[in-house]
Amino acid sequence: MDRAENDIKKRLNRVFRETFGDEKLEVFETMTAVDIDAWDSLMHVVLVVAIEKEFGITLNAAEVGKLENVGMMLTTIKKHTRK
Amino acid sequence: MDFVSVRFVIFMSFAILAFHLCSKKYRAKLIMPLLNAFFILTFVKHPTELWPFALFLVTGFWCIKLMERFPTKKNAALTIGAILTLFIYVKKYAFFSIVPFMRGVYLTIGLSYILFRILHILIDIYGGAIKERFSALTFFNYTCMFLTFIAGPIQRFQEYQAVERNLGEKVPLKREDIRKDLSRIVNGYFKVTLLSPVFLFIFNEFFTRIDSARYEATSFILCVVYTGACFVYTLHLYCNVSGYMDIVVSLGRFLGLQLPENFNKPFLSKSFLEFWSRWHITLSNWFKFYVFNPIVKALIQRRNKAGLIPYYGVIAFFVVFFLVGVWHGSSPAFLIFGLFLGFGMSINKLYEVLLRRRLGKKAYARVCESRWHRALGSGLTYSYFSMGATCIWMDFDKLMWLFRKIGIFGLLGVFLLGGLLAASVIALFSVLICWRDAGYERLYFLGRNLYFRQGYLSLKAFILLLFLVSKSHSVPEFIYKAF
Repeated sequence: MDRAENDIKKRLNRVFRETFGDEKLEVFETMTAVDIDAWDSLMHVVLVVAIEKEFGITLNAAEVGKLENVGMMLTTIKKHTRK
Repeated sequence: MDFVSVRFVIFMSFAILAFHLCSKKYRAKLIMPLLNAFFILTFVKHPTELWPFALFLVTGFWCIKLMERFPTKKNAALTIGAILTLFIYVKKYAFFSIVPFMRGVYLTIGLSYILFRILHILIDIYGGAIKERFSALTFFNYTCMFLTFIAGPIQRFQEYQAVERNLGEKVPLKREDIRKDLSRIVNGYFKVTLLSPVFLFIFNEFFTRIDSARYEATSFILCVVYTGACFVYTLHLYCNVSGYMDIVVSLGRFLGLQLPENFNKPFLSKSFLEFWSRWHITLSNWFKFYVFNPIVKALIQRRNKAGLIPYYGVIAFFVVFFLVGVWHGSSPAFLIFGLFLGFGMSINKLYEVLLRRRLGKKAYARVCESRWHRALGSGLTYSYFSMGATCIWMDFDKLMWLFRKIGIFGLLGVFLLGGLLAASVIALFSVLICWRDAGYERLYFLGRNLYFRQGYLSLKAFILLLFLVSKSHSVPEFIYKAF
C-alpha cells in the first residue's frame, strides 16, 4: 500500500469513527454493514455524505448504492481523487 | 406465451439449442433479438396491438440518445418526464382519467419493467455511471430480454453488460450443476402449478365468505375470515412469484445468463425493514439506488443533524412506497397500498430508533436476537404485508366497505391475530426444517446417492405432469404480469 492509499484509509477510518460515534473502530477492506450494528440504509447515506465532504468528491446514484464494503469505498475514493 | 405451456417448452428447447449451436458472435446480435421479438409477438393477436409498445420503446431509445449527446440536468428532467408521461398514458392510469386515453386492446405486458430499465439508464448517464453508447440492438436486448420480459428480475445495465459479453458461456455442463438447475426448475413449476392453485382455492373460499358477509356477518367473524384470506393469499402470491423466479433464473443458466435473485426466504425476516431486502429484491434495490438514497442524501445535505436522520428516513420511505404502490396498479386501491407500506416502514424504523435509544446498543442487539422477538417480528411482518396485499385482490369500493365495517380496532385485531398465526406457522416450519436437516444427516447416504436424487426429482416431475395433463386442473395467471 503506498502513502496516498494509506492516507485515504486513515481519513476514511476517521470518517467511520465520527459517523458511528465509536472511537475504537478500525476499518478493514472486507468490512460491510454486517460488521457494524448501526450501519443501516439510513446511516449508509450519512456515511456517504461524510465521505463526500471529507474527500471533496461527489458520488453518483449508482456509486452510492454499490458501496457495499470498505474496499469498494477505497477504490471509489481513489478513482475520484485521481481525477 | 405462458411459461406453463407446451409452446414455451418447445420455444425454450429451441432457444437452448440455438444458443449452443451458434457461434458466440451471433448470440447477442442475431439469436437473442430474434428470440426476444418472437416471444413478444406471441402476446399479440394483430400487429396493430404493438404500436403503443413500440412507441414507448422508440421514445425510450431516443431519450437515451439525447442524454448520451447532451447529459445536462435539463435534459435529464425532460427525458425522465417524457418517459413517465408516456408510461402513465399508455397504462391508462385512473388518476388521470380526464385525459382521453387510447382505445382498443394493445400490449402493455412488461412495460412496467421496461420503464425501470430505461429510467435507470437515463439517471446513470446523467450521473456519469454509464458512459457506453447504446446501439438499438443492445437497447432492445436489455429492455426486452424474453426471460425477464414479463416480470423481471430488474437487472441493472452495468450487470447486464457483463452477462451479454459472456452470452452462452458459463453454461452448467457439470452433472451436479445441471441436476441443481433442473431440480430448481421442477420446484419452480411445482410452486406455480400445484401449490399456488391450492392456496388460491382455499383463498377463494375465504373470499366468498367476505363477499357474502356484506349483508350478514358480524365484525368479529369478518375479522377472522379476513385474517384467513390475507394469510392464504400471501402464500399463493409467494408460490406464484417465487416459483416463476426459480424457473427464470434456472433457465437463464442454461443459456449462460446469470440473472439476479429476487427472493431470499422473505418470511424469515425479523422485521418489516428486513423484509424488503428479501422480497422482490431487484425492485427494492432499484428504489433504494434511485429514489431512497437521493432523497435522504438531499435532506442530509440540507440539514445534517443526527436527531433528524430517522425522520428523513420516514419521509423517504413514504415517497418510495407511495411510488411502489402507484407502480403496482393504476387504481386508487394501490395508492392506499403504497401509503400503508410506507407507514409500516416508518413505524418499524421509529420503533427501532426508540428501542435502541432506550435500551442502549448492546441490550437492543440482545433483545433483537431473542427467540420471542424474532418469532414475533417475523409473524407481524408477514401479517402486515398480507394486509397490504389486500389491494391486489380487492377493489377500492370493497376495501372501503371493509374498513368501515371492521374499523380501526378490527384492523388492529386482524394484524395481531395474523401475526400470531404467522409466527406459529413460521416457528413450526423452522422446527420441521431442522428435523428435515437432521434426518438428511442420518440418511446422508441417500442424499449422496445419485439414483435416489434422480428418482426423487423424476417423481416430482411426474406428479407435476399428472396435474398438468389433468383437464380439471387450471393454473392461475402469473400475478406480477399484471403490474
